[in-house]
Amino acid sequence: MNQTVEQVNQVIQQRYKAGFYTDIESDRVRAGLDEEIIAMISAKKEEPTWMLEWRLKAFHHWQTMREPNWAHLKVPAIDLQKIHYYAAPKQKNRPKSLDEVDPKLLETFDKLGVPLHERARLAGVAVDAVFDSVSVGTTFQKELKEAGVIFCSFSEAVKDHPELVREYLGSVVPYSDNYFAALNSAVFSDGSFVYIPANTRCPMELSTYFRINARDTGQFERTLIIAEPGAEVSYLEGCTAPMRDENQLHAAVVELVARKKAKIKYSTVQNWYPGDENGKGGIYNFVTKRGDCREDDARISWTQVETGSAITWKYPSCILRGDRSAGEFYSVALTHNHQQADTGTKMIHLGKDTTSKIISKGISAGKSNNSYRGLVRIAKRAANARNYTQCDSLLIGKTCGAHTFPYIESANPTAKVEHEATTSRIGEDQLFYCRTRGLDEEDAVAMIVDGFCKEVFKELPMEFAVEAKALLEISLEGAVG
Amino acid sequence: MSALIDSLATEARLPADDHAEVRRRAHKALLKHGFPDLKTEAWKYTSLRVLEKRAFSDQRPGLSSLPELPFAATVLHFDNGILDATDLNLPAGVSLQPQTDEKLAAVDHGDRAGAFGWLNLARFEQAWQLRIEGQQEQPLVLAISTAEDFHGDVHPRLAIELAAGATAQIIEVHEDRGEGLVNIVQDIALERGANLHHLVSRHSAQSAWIQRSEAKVARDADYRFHALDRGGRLTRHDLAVTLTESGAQAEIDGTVLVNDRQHVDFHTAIEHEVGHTNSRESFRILADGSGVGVFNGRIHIHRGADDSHSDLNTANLLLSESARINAKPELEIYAEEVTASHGATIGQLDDQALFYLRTRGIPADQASALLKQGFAAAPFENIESESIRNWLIGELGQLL
Amino acid sequence: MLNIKNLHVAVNGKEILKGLDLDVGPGELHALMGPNGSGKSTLGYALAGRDGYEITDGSVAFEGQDLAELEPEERAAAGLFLAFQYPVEIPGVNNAYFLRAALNAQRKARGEEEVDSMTFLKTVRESIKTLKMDEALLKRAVNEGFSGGEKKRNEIVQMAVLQPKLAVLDETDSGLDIDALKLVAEGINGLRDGKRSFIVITHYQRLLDYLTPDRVHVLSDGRIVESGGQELSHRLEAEGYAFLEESAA
Repeated sequence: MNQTVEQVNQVIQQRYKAGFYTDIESDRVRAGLDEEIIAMISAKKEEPTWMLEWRLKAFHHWQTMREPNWAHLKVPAIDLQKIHYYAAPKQKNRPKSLDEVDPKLLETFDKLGVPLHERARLAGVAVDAVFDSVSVGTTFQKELKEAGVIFCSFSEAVKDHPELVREYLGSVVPYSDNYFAALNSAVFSDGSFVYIPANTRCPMELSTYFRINARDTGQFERTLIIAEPGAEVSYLEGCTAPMRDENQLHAAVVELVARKKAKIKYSTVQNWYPGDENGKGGIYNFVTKRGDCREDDARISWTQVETGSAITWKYPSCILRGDRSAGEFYSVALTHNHQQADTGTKMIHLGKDTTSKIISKGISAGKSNNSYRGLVRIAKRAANARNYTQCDSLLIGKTCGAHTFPYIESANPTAKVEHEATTSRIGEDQLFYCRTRGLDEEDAVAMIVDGFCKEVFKELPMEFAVEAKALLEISLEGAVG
Repeated sequence: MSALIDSLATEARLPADDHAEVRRRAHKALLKHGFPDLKTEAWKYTSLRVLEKRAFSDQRPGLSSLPELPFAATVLHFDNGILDATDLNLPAGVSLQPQTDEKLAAVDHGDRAGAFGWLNLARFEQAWQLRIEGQQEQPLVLAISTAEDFHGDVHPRLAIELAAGATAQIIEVHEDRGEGLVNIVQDIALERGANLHHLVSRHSAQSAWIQRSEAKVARDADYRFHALDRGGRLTRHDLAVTLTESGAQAEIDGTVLVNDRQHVDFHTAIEHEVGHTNSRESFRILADGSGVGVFNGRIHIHRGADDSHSDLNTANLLLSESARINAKPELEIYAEEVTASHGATIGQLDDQALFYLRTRGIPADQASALLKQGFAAAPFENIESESIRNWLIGELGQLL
Repeated sequence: MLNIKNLHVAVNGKEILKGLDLDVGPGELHALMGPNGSGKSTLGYALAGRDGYEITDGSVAFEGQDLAELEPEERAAAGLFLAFQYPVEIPGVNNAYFLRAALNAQRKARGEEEVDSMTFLKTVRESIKTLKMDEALLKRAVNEGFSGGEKKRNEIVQMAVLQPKLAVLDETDSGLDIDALKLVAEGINGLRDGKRSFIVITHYQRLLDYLTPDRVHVLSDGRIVESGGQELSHRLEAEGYAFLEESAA
């Protein structure tokens, strides 16, 4: 028995397969956060003055704010002055194409299963790879250009499409929105930019892969997706970081704008380093993601599979402004060891006949705490709005916690809001049944968990569903015993 | 929030009596934490603005009238919030006496979310202790009423103890006609195997009506609570039930009706501290006119409280363009072998049911009144005593 | 009693009834059969006045009165009764209270005296007995927790108490076992008095074995495509609805 526990522990130790570090010379600004640092970041990125001014406005606002404390999280004090706000692999010149990118970087993404070079590219998926503070390259540029789609790093967008960035940046998540969004607005380094022209269906899946590599850095990326009337796009993001004993901060902002009849589907497989089994190290993931169904009949759908990060604070939201617009949120959040997650969504119904659907599956194991926090708000003018929410929690073991905090606010007498939540454990009888059919306990748990999450997995694009499932299995190893 | 401190809680307003120590401690805590505002999570839907604008008078109001009840009961009348304990005719097994300072010194009302508890402890008129033994057949009525010229603040404080194996029904009847502040604190303890049915029927006019009821339920004891709140200018009731030993159980049922310029906020919490404890809760709000209804129902199953079961359900009707309902059911679970669930809906009367009634010849107005009545009455259907059930349901009918 | 001329009814903008003609005289029992989706239930709802069932063309006269002008409760007071295919559950509303409220509302609308509770209870108890139901059902909420069969029998109890001039029974036979089916048929036959009329909507012929309809109609794609005597229902039972294709062609 003891031997088994030992083996299981070894598996847990190994389970974070993206925990390696790439030894590459890094160009890093000094640690600390002040106006000078912000000016340096802006200068390194050769930004126009308006961009710097925006950053500084955000910084000044941020200085007036306090860290939020309402979440069900124990957040150790983070010394923001010790962080390096910009780190980039050293390169002589900005690479003009992927051929010029440092082979070490290409190798890193290869190892992570995200090949960028011609031969091995993921079929049907265009990838923007972000390494620490910068984008190292974007695949399928030519094919996308032909369709009129812009998919590039945020820095490039600031240079090449300033009119679009100026119009939309901060229009969904203003820099004053919250503490971490304000911080991001001041120091964001890179991220992805997507523009889908009117009546265009993006010819392939778009994907960004975020990799934190350098020590003592934070990652503050920004993503902006604009879908013009009638446009359609499916976007995926993945994230990993090396295993380190120190905590690292990730404070991203994602803004989605869906115009009339546009559709945006945003999927995330988040696998930031969660820390070790004693709760040492791991990423603090404080993210603001929001989509704006700005005009009639727009649709935004969020799907997330969250297995990583030491602390997750994240509420991908939809503002349903246009009449008949629709928002969806599908989430699997798994926490193990000492991980803490406070995650959920906000559905803000402003337009008439707007609909939203929330399916949230939380799985807690080890000594972790996993909370769903969701807001459904029906504004006075949102006649006939409809929401359906289903929130299920699964507990594995006696030392974890599973929590549900829904906020339901209705100010329209024709609206209907429905919320259901359950908490249960994996039933002895379920396990026993599986085992009498020949499955070992771990396989049985994996199978039950997979069934528990099915509704969410089916929302993910095929390849990612497979990845998510595998990730969940790895993350659960050693959870039963 | 200093406006409220200035009008309610200056040092000069601390009554001079032998509880000086207790009062000073409470006053200090109140000054330290302050009153809650909309940023205080537990008060995010309830503003104290109405109260801030008020001046509280110490003038003694006229006699308030005692509500009529259609059943036999022992009545403790808190006239304008103050109980005159002389000539009380209590049944055998029931005793009333002042609480000791020792007990009061141990009270903890927490941070600013519990500010009114501290205010009560600083300002209470008399802290009573009601002890109940044996099987009490007749209900005990706590009638708290205010007169039209009530402009003061009053802080009834009452501990209720049920001895092991005791059974009782306590019915609170709250009738407000004034425009002041009634700030009640209740400490309820059920010893082993005790059985308490606690009912509250409340109607408040312009007074702010703030109540904290904390119940501790020991082994195999059974706490049942029914509330019918017929609205008020500003009503807030915090009910916290702690199941401290195995076999303890709690059931909470309530209906809140709010209409024009009314605001009722019910916060309930059920703490499963140990295993083998059960709870069930069902709560309803019907919001009409410009009424605002708030329901926050929390279930907390502590670490190790295995084999606990809890279910909470809140169904709410939003009946007008300017009414609002905010519902927040919460689950906080740290134990494994449990089942816990909650469901919440906010909607309107069922079109199908309305149509069905109309095809049977019932006019639309009457049909919707009938449905509202049925909806509001559902939480009281499980009351065994027919006279009490009919009384509560009758109170509903007068309003809908 | 009931005269339907060229009735067109649309639900959510989609036309379901497409020119239906039907005349039901006093005391007559008509059976309306047809495949799923032919518009049988739509007719029931349109007659009872459900929201969203829009009469786009044609007319329905009930004792010479235009039904389209009446609210659902006015139609009930005028003597029209619909037994629902899926009777609605109404939590918290006591069955006996509901039925008495309905009866008195109708009587009031007709300018009649309200019935006292003694007379009312006597009538209800009789009907309950006829349908072999448990009197305890009266104390429960309307249809709440009733089995499928109990709900259907409860509809017949309501019909017996409310004494309509015309009853439209929408698949009251579906989901009933043979004993319950006989009870329902007895309930209906007991109310046939030569003046009261019935439209019995059904998918199967088996209920009609106990009812002896005056006319049998076949509804298909929103129109009556075939009418006849009881022999038509037997033919449908034997051949199915397939022959409709031929007759339509």
